[in-house]
Parts: sequence; structure tokens; C-alpha cells
Amino acid sequence: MKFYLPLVCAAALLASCSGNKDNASTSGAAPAATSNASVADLDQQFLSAWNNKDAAKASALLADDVQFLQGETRFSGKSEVMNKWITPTISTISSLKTSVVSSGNDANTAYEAGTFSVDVLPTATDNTAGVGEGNFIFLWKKGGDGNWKLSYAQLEDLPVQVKK
Amino acid sequence: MKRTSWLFLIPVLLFSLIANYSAQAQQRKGWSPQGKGAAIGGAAGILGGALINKRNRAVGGLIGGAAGAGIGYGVGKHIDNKKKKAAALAAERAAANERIAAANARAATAERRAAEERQIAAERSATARPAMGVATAATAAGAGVVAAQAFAPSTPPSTVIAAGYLPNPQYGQAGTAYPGSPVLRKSW
Repeated sequence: MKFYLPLVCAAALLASCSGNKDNASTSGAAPAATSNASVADLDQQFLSAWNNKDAAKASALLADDVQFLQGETRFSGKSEVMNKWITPTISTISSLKTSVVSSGNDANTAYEAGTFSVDVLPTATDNTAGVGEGNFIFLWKKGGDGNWKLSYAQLEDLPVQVKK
Repeated sequence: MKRTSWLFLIPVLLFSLIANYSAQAQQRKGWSPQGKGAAIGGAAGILGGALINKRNRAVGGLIGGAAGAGIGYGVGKHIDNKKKKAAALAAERAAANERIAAANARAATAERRAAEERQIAAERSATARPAMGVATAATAAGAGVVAAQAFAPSTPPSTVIAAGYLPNPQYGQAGTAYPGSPVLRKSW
């Protein structure tokens, strides 16, 4: 029996060594997918409101002092952001999707940033459908009542292509 | 002892085989994580079962081997799923980056063409004005430059649509997100 013990130990050691490479390669991506659960949920709620054309739900997720930046426009405050961004835009798009490149959250702030793609619906003046893409960053802050609200949003849009 | 000693040799051989094979097969396709997990689990199970069930090491080894192989397969499957998920995520990001880079390149070309058209239009208006006797050549050229810089054409250049982009209906309108872009940029 004692004769086999070193063999068994050596074999176990070799087997465990060969398995570590796989673990190392997979461990890099795993935390990114699991550690941002709350901010991912917040962004999903916001995207769902857009995709369901539910402006009231989107408005409920905005902080009173929300800031919105897009190109040369700067909107400040919930009412301005609603009146100049969400209300005029929500009915013109569909199938809004995001691909997150970076995200993080702590006790009071959370952010998610990446790229987005969206279908631009035909309008009365232009009946051509388009596909828009761009970059986004959303910063969420926890309010005094414990609810998370969108505090800062920035969009950088790329030219809208004709949908094929 | 002599009969049971073979039982101990099986997992040892299996372990060594896996270790050697996986080391050599790093460059080739190698075992699937499920197969590797099942083999390692099975070997460990045979060893553990044979050690625990001293009365009948063969039965212990069999039960341990089967249970170990099952657990090992599950662990291997989990690792495989994680790998596939990470690979899919990376591929999606790469594809998004490629799409954006291609869109940027096409947009730059379209905007360059539009700028060229504006410049040609400005030059034409600059050369036309002295002939009409309204202004001197110098002031006409100055007006042409101003016209080229201002965003006030009635419609965006036709090349924009030909290049596969939607025109910007708010082109030249102050207070909009992208007043200087003849192509529509604001989607979301």
C-alpha cells in the first residue's frame, strides 16, 4: 500500500497542474458578468421602458437633477430631459439594444458604458427606416430614499444607415 | 492485497494518462472539458471508492468511479459553459467594434464628399456674383467662404442618401444634437 502512495500523489499533482490553465483563462471574464447585477438590472429597466414606449416608466427612473449630453445638446433636470429627449425620441425608435463594455457599482453609484444599436422608424416626411449605432454611458445614483435614479446620461451617435 | 493492488493502479494510470495527454494536446484540440472532468472524476472516484470500501474494493471502486465520473462531467460541463459564454461575449464585442469602425469610416467618407460639394457650390456662387455686378470679386469670395462654413443649405447633399445614410432633417438648425452633420446621427 505504501508503495503506491507516492505514485498516487504524483499523479494527482500532475492532473491538478494541467487543469489550472483552463481555470485561468475562464476566470478573467466571469467577474465582469456577475459583479454588475444591480446596474445591469437598472439599465434593463430603462431599456424596457424605451422598447415598450413607456415614457412614464422612463421618467420614473430619472433623478430630479439628471443631466443629459448628446452631441451639442446639454439638457439639465428631469422636465427638460423628458421634454427634449425622451418624449420626442421614444416613438421614433424600436429594438434598442446595448452591449456593455464597462460597468461597476458601489454603495451609492453605479455606471454602465458601452455601445448601443437601435432601429430608427420611418417618419411622415421620410419613409426610410434606418439603423443607428453609438456609444453610451449611464451613471446611476442612490437617492436618500434608497431608490436608484439615472443621474447622468451621455450618448454619442454614429451616422444612421439606411436599413437593408 | 495482490488482487486489489490492480485497482489502485487503474486510477494512477488514468491520472498519468490525462496529465500527459492534456500537456501534449495544448496545441491540438485536446479533450473536451466534460471528458477531462469525467476522466479525472472517475479516476478519483475509483481511488476513493477502493480506499473507503475495504471489504470489497472492486465494488467500492466501481461505485466511486461512476459517481466521480458523473460529478467530473458536471464540473467539466460547467467549465465548458463558462468558456463558451466568455468567447461569445468577446466575439460580440469584437463584432460591435468592427461595425462601429466601419460605420465611422463610411461616415467620414460621406462627410468628406458633402464638404467637397459645399465647397464646389460656394466656389460657383463666388464666381457667379462678380458677373452679375452685385459685388466685387473679393467680397464675393468672402461671402463664398462664409457660405461654405455656415450650415444653411435647404436640403442635405444628395450624396448622403446615395452613400446609404439617412439625411439629417435638422441640418443647420441650432440647438439640435448634430447641426453640422448632413447625415442623420441622432438615433437614440
